[in-house]
Amino acid sequence: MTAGSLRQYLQTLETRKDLHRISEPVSWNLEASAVTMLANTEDSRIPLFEDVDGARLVGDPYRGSQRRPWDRIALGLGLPSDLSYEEYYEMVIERLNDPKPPTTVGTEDAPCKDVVETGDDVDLLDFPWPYIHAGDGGRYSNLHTLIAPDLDSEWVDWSYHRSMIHDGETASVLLLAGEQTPNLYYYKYEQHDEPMPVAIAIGVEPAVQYTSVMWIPTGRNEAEFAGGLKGEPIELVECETNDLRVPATAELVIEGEIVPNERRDEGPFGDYFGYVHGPRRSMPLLRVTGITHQQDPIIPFCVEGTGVGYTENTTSSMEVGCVGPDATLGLRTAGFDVECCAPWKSTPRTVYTIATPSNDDGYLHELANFIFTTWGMLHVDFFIFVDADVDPLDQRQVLEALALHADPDEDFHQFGVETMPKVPLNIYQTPTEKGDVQTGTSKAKTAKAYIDATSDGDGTRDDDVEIEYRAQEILESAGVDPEKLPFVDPGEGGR
Amino acid sequence: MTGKYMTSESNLPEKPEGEEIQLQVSDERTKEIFNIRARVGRDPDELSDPDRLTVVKGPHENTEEEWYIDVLETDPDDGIDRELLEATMASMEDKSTVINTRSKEVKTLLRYLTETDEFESVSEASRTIMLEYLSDNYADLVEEYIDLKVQSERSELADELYDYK
Repeated sequence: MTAGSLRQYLQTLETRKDLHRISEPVSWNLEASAVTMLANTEDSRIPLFEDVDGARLVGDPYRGSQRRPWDRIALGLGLPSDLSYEEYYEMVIERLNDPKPPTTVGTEDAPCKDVVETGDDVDLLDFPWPYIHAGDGGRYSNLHTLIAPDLDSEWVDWSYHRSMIHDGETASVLLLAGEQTPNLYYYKYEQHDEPMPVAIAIGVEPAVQYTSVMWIPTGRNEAEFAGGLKGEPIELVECETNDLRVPATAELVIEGEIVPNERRDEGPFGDYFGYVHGPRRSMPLLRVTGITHQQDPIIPFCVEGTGVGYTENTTSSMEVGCVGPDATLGLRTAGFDVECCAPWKSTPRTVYTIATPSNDDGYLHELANFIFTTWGMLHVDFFIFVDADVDPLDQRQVLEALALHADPDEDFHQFGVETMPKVPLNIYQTPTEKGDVQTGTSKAKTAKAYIDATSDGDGTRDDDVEIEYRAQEILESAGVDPEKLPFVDPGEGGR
Repeated sequence: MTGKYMTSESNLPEKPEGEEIQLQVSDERTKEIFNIRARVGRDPDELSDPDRLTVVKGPHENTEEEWYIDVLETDPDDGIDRELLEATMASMEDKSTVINTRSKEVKTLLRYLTETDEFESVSEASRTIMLEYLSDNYADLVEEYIDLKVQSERSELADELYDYK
């Protein structure tokens, strides 16, 4: 069954003995994140901190394992636990293909309205926002859904932009132009000198959290796709201090406005690359107008930086488990013949691999051009195209394809040298190349690239597959658990 | 000494020691970020009631220096009394906009600027120069006034549209 709230999801984890309740007092100041980091490193149960200044935190609730990053995400969607990545991707795609418009419920039916605070009662510091890494510029809310309306249409964007808490009423929000919500702020609201009304929904139900990180096209409401993922409409409720609607089962909702032409420090922050990398940035200011929440709210957070290398965290797992299937669907919808589009597991967000049956140079160029010109390509630096039978989530297979099929003379292609936008969170630009106050992006531009590692018909693995299949049969007969062996399709030659 | 603050070197003015400055700091215990009016220095003996101040340095802020701080005011704000400003705006609604000032020197200088075609009239010269001065020296006040003015015009327009409807 799809979990209808964060609480329901955590209960499901507990039923499966996959939740670690920590009832001892734990500090929001580095301690909760240190315990979570250890749980991530050890691939241990999900830690629920039940006494953090009298409130609750949960660390990296959707983190999967490096081998199967999508497992807990699948659990939140009520999908079977033993799906292969191909099966998982196709089931998520099937649900995304059936979006369902949200419904609106009254305040009395919305758990997030248990407590309503507006005006002078608003105090962000009443909640235990975690201080996640030593060296961070402040405490963060970094696992939530930012809800913002378009200025000129009915479109409401759901996205995922971390916020650094400054005091009881203000925070700075990481808005990098080139992404959807930041574009609304920088190029519409701020151009008209108008505040952008927003709501930050924290501790939302899994389907909402997942769609917040997906690349849903501009103009399409994430709420409908969240309904598709959930298999039923998402229930929304109206805010107290603006006209936005928020997921009714959220643990906590911050209402407010991101004001024009005001900037506050954001960062430094231990980022998803695994480094605390400066300098601090000037980011738009969120002024809080209301806070509503459930009784005894649970605030989820992510220890960014622990999703590189051999460990996973919520955002790295969501990149594989949410953005991957969504990107695959996006490319297929645009008419491209794509088997799978998936991130590089050990450094998600910088590199994506696309498995496609086509090895035509013009076709791959067109595909790359589509991606770089129609998607918000701040984070992703390059793509690798591989044959359809290469598993994009198996880095060894991808490296093998690179080594065997990518000709340095012909198969490495650059797009827009020194003209493409670049997220100022990367570590290869110098501090002076970063930090454009006007739009939050890097001052210096970069290139985007793609590598054609398709086989160009320069060899066939049919014989290898047959040999591999026979080898597996021998191993099975010798007592090796077949579940631990990679799937090999013997084709018509198999028995 | 009680309490401890933290700031970034990038928040400090060029020669901050001993000067009265406005500074963004964070409380090391609560991590709350706020502005204060303060004096800072590397030597606690130079300050009257020093607290500890950690200054983080470098492009990645991973170098720390121990400084000291005299906190003079914890909530300096911009000093603008919004209510008073609103009341003043309201009271000026139906009043004359003429400003009287008696000064032979000012008048002579302004007249000179109009004779040399710098300005078209004495009143234009005085208006322009005063507004420039206010913008430079009372920027917060001017900004607050503009905000209030925009707000008031927007609500007037909304009222008109409502009446029309």
